Amino acid sequence: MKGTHRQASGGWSLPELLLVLAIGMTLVAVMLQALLGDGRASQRLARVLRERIQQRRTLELVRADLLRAEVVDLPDQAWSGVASSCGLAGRRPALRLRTAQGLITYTQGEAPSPIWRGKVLMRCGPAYGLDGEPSSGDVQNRVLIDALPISGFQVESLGPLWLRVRLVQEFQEPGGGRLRVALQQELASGG
Amino acid sequence: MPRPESAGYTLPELLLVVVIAGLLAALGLVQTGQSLARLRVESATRRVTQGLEWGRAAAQQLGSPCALQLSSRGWTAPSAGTVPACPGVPLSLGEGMDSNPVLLEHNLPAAVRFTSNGLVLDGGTVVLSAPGTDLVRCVVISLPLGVMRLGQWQQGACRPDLAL
Repeated sequence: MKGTHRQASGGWSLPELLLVLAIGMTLVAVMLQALLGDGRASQRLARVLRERIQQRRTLELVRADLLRAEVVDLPDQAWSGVASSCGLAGRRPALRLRTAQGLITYTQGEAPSPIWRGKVLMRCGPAYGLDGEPSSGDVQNRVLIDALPISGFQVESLGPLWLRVRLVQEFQEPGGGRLRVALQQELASGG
Repeated sequence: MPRPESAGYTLPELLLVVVIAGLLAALGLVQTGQSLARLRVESATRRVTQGLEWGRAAAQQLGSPCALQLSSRGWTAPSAGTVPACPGVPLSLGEGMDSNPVLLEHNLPAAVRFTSNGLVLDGGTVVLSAPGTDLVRCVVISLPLGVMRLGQWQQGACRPDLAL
């Protein structure tokens, strides 16, 4: 028994030091993982909030265009007779509005430049003036929102000038997971 | 061979310690310099996006259109055009670190205009870099909603960065 007692000046033995080191490193690793996880969760929440704002803006724009529309055409209806003013580059028409200022066509499909992720929703129609209203001059074809899966922009007719619109975005996360953000609204020319 | 307690360190031991300490210090300095340069680029990128949101919010609050110009000094009152400047400018890109400004290139017009209902009438691409880092950030601004996408400038194009 005498041999198992450490003298006061003997310090720590190697196994004791290794044990303490292992416990310390495990604790640090656990804390680091928790911090990293917290950072990822914050980043995820920030992205959801940012994209939701973008989705609301997009649907507000559709709503404003619908308010000006005289006729609403959906892809399953007859589209003959009126051609889009823009090159669609393989994108599929999703919604077409005939307004006094001109034809407005929403299309979805491949992005026009590499910065956009996934499929994009584009609006081809009269450019906006300083008053924020479409002018009757130039026609513009611009990206409204990206990161759409195939058919990420869906429009369903609920009645004359009354639509149910659903937007879905999917983002690939750095950890390998996927983040899905969706918004659905009913839009009517009456508000 | 055991050294007597009063003998201290030998010259080779001291030299070895000095060399190791010097290498560690040099490594730290290089890493710190690169981190600072990256931070400068990321910070300026954030200020570019903040400026755009600022202009949009200002036009909506005013209820009338306003405009901003992006220059190496940051967002300023436009030098051209007839649209009045949005209030609150200038917005520096440096966030108080103006001694080492970032390098800025863009193809935005002289006045980026915002409508009273929050639309952005002008868009383009902004490229930001700084000496001391390979990171070259880019911001693509699309009208009319003012969608901004951040990425890395590679091979003459702005490409998405998964980390953002």
